[in-house]
Amino acid sequence: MLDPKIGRWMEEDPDGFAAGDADLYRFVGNDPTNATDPTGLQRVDANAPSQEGSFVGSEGTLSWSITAVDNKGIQFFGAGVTAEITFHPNDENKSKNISFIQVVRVTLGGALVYPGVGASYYSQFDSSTGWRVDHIQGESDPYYGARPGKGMLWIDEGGRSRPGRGPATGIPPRDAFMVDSPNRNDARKGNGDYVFMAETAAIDIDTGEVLGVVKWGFKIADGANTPVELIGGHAGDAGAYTSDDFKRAVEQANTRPEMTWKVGLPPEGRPGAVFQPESSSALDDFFEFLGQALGGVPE
Amino acid sequence: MGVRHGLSLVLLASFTGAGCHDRVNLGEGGTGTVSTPDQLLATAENPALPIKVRAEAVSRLGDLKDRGAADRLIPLLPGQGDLLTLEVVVALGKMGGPKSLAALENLRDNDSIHLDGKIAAILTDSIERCKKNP
Repeated sequence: MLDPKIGRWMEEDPDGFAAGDADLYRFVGNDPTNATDPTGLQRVDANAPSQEGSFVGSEGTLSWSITAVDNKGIQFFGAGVTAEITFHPNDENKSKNISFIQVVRVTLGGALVYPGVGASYYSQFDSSTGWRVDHIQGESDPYYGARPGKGMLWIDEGGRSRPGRGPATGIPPRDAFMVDSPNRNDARKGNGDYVFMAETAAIDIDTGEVLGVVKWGFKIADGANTPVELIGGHAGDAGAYTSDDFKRAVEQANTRPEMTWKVGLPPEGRPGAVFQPESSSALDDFFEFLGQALGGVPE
Repeated sequence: MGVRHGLSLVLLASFTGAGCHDRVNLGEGGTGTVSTPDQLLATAENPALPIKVRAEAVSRLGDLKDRGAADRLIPLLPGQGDLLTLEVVVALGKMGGPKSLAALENLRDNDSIHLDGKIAAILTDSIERCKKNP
């Protein structure tokens, strides 16, 4: 809970030092003039023109640029952001095997919302938390992929890369690239706050390894001319492992018959697991202690 | 997962209105009859077919860059905001021309339609393509 009088959280930041601040009780990096933190988990930059960053992983570099696209009151995509995410592999030969998986959680006035008119369809991809794989009806794989240089590419049901999905200008051929333009044209119209959260992972589609992950999003508070507030996208919001929410959303998508391409697990022992290992519970710790004490847990 | 196979969608002619002994092969590397624009359009317009089959037909039409097909593709917008919508947006961008541009801009400016973010991103690109190819 935030104490508004002192601008500090009353508990430690649950993200710990990964939140990017050595003071676990400090609010938005001690910069409340330019930022807010409505969820308590991520700093929110108000009126930030763009949020850029990068994460250097063992297989390459994930970089991103999140820019607000806001035409207040003008009918042009309502308001939202354009997110451009690139993965530059260390090994050029690997570039052809890289794509992205993105999970999203989108709410308007606190209720989950979906694009298009297929809400019932999209809701089938929701995990229990409301996070779902970013997927449109008719797609048969979960990948949000593009490999510019030959044009943006899309990996279809047969694993075939298909060109023609967007701009490739300026993107080196070895890099994997994706662009997303989430927006909502009924924000600021008395329907409540609009909040779009995303977790985007660069994936080696042959091994299932996660190569880098970044959490980002935006919020448009209800009301006239409210700003598009960027959420996440900071260095502390990136890493080598996906979250449990990501895992659940992908597992849910994998159960759908439409998804003839499933997200696989990497071979055992390979560095960089698809999903972040579950932290051990107190019960696990007890059994581990018991096993050590007894020289092995009896079966 | 690492093995790639070309998608070969072979449709019976009854789906497309072609002769009963004809086949329409929408896939790459297949040995069947090459689809004509009319056959592809008939497939794209057929609501009884799976979305991905109709979307595949639209994709092939886009590759042909035949502006004559735009008149029949435009009514498929905005659709359900699904893969078919996405493919029509891509195809119109490839075809270019004033009709395609107007249809795409109308979709962009429609206040009652909420497009998926990836379709919105592609819509922006297709509009730019149309402007460069009037």
